[in-house]
Amino acid sequence: MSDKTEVRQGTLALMVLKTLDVMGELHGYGLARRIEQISGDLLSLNQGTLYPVLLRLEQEGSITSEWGVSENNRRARFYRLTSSGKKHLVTETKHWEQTTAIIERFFSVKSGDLQ
Amino acid sequence: MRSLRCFLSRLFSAVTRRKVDDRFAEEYQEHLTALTEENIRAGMALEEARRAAVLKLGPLELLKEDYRDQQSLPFLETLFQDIRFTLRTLRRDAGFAVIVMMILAVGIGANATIFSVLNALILQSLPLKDSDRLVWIENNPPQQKGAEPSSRKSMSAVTSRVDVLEAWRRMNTSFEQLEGYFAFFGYRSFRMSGGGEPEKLVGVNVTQGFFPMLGIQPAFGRNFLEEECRPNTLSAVLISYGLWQRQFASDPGIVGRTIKLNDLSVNVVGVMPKNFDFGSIFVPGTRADIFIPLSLDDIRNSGNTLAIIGKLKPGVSVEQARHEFTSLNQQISLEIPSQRGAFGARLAPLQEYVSGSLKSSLILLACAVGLVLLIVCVNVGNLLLARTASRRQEISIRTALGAKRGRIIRQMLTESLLLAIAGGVAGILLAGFATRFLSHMTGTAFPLLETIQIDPYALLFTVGITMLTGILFGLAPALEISKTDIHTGLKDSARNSGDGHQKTWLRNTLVISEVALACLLIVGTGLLVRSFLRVLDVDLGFQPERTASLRIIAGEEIRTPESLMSFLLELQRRVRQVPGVEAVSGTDALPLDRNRSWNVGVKGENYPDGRPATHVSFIFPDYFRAMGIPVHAGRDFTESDGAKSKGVVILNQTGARTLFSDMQNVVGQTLIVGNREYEITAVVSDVRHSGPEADSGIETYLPALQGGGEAGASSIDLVIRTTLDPASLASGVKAAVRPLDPNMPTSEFLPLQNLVDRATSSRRIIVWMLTGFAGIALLLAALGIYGVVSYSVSRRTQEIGIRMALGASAGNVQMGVIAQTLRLVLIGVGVGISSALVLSRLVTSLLFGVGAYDPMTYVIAPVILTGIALLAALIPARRASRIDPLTALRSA
Repeated sequence: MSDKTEVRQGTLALMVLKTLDVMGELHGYGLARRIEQISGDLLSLNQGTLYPVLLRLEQEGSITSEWGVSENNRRARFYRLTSSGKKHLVTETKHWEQTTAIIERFFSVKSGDLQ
Repeated sequence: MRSLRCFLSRLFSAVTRRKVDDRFAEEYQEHLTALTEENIRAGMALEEARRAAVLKLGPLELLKEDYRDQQSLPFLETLFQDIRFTLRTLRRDAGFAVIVMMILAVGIGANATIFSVLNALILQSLPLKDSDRLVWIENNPPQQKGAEPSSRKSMSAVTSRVDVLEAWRRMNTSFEQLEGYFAFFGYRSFRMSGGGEPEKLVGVNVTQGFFPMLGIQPAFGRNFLEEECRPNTLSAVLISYGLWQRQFASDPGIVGRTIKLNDLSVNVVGVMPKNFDFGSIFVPGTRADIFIPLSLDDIRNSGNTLAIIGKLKPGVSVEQARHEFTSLNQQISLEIPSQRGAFGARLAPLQEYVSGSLKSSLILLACAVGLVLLIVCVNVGNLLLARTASRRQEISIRTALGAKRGRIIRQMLTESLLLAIAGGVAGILLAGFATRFLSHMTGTAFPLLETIQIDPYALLFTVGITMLTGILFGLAPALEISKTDIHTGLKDSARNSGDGHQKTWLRNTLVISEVALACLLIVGTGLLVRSFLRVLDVDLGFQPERTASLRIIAGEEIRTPESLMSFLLELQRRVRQVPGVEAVSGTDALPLDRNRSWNVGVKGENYPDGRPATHVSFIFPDYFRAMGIPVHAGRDFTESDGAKSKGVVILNQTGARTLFSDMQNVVGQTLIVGNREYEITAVVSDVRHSGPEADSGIETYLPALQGGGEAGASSIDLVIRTTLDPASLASGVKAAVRPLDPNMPTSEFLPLQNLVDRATSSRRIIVWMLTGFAGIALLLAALGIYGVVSYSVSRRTQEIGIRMALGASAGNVQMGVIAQTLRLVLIGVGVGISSALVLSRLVTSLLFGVGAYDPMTYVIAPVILTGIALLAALIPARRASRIDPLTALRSA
């Protein structure tokens, strides 16, 4: 087992949305780098798996994409959050925070607390 | 919401097959380049940098697949793929596809048609408001107990007197409303004059609340007002939609106009809605052109003439109403003198009255088409199975390339479903034609025919059975083929490999079950056909051949009964002069058409249960000769049996037997019919007045000349017996009638055979359909046998070649093939006959004159089936016998 965490189902989409929210427009490579950077290289990501997720988010209407020119002057596809994506991110964030808070409580439970 | 949007987007790209693969490939390349550059910057060598980049990004082909799956719907993609593939293979094998489609179309179409009939007559409620609360109320004299309930066979037994309706209206608490129509409306023919050929119209007298109770609102205008229903007035009329289109060119200004009916000026108050067909609901085979208000006072003394329909109060059941009427009727029988002793009522939901008598026939038909569909499935399954043999190699290759068993079954089922859908589409077209044909049939006693159509329910049903059929016939071949072993499948060319034992077994079972199902259907059809032939053979008591009737409606200028009678006598004298006419007479109640019911008894005799009922017809002299009814004793009426002479009556044999203990001395005795005394002048043969399947009751004939107002109020049917074809007589008779009354419509010149045909029409339609289905079953069974035998012959070419090389003659080979077929057929027939023996009891109620175990049918059905089967086997058998041993062996 490596000490890098596999990306959980569904969380990658949330990471993509948040990254785009913070960074604005990004292409696939940039997005992958940022996600690794933010996760502090603790995440083992097969970067190619980003693309089906991006496609799904686009189909859902959370992001849009268009061709543009990358920093080293090559053609690249740039992804951007839509307003519906922003809303989605807000609700998802709230949901996620709640879940982690609940899990947190369970983890911090000691036998004495429940007497 | 989001997932829906996602789904729609994927569906869209699946359907349009719009690909953005290129986009992904480009992004992948860009990503890879960027990663490689990063690695180089980190100090790797070019090769190393690229390898690491690919590792980091993931392999292109695998990602592409994920990407594609996300892009569209993989399930649909596969489906489309299968469909495209199927279409391609079927195009290559178009003959096969067309045959399968045709077989399926026949099966599915027949089922959709019968379902539509069943739907219109039984499943759907009547096209009337609150139809589940409408109840048919018939008069039920106690001496008719045990008679078949709620059938249309006899009209007069169901009608009631005005005072009874009034008593019921006054006393009952179950019904919101009790209304009625004059059941003898056929008597009330009208002629509409004023321009053009005078047309004869059939008018129905209905009580004022009749249409409002049924929820029928005129398309234009209004229902009758109370003052229009007063006695002795005819001031308002409602016309049917058909008449409005036909005679008034759909003129919306017709409401409020005045038309001439029987030379009276009548106000048109409304046009009935287009979808309302009085005849098809209440009296099938009859056209109703106009509706006129019925005044109860006008028919108060006409006896049992009202057909009564009631609308239950909400929440009251028919059972409760029945209960109430039983006690009411006891009271009424004491109060109303005319009903003393002989009184009862039978209540049935209107729907049951309208189509109840056809229910069991229709269910039989439904079972028959179900069988046909099963046979179709078996047949098509068998054809597909034969095809799988030649596709064994293809499947093996697919399996070798990694297709899983489920995937192959799925593809095979897609194929069969596709075939089923094609068959279903063709079938629904067939059913569309069939229902159109049925709904446009005229002159039958089938109710609600016009409402038969392919409606959404029928469509839904068809879609359902289509899918079911596809799965049913596709399953066996799919399972069979998916079992293909790659090795044998690839090694053997399909032609030469011998058949596995199991597979032969499957095919044989299919053929046997096909033969058994066909046998069952043929036995059932045989029983009904034989019943129908018996019905046609029934001695009706009169001879319809070369006899025609002509309905006479005298103009309003002939007002008194006396002048009407002399007019009719004059008319008869004129018609008698027409060349070819053998005898002319007239009656107001032709058999199989109308009847009226009175009480009859012998003078001086006491009837504690009330006097029995009798059909009464008013007739003109020479009636029995014109109708071909044998006179057994006594004399016919003559013109001298007039209004002023002694009352006379003629009785039928059943009447003589029932009323008198001494059959020899009936003539000369005195009968009380209704409330008058008549002397019996003759005894005549029984006539099946109410229909070929109903026994004759007591019948009495009274001279029309003595009928007074009773006979005069009705129209009269002239009965004309000829030496020629009745139809050829029409113009001569018309010419003879015209000088007497130029305005008299003579369009309705009706061979009596038409009445007989109408009386047997329901049975005829059902027998036709059944015969058609049995024919289809026979054909399919033959096809199935042919297919299996010729397949097995082609598989055994080598074996046969060897046999022949070893000395078997062509005859030996032929006999071998035929014996093999015969074995299958005999097993199938055995199974079919034994199941028929068990099931035939269920159709007993539909049979007439033959038993459920009619030996003739049980012998003929297997003989036909075996004969056809052998015929089907003969072609491949001959082919087998012509095999040239040399070629057969060399081709191995």
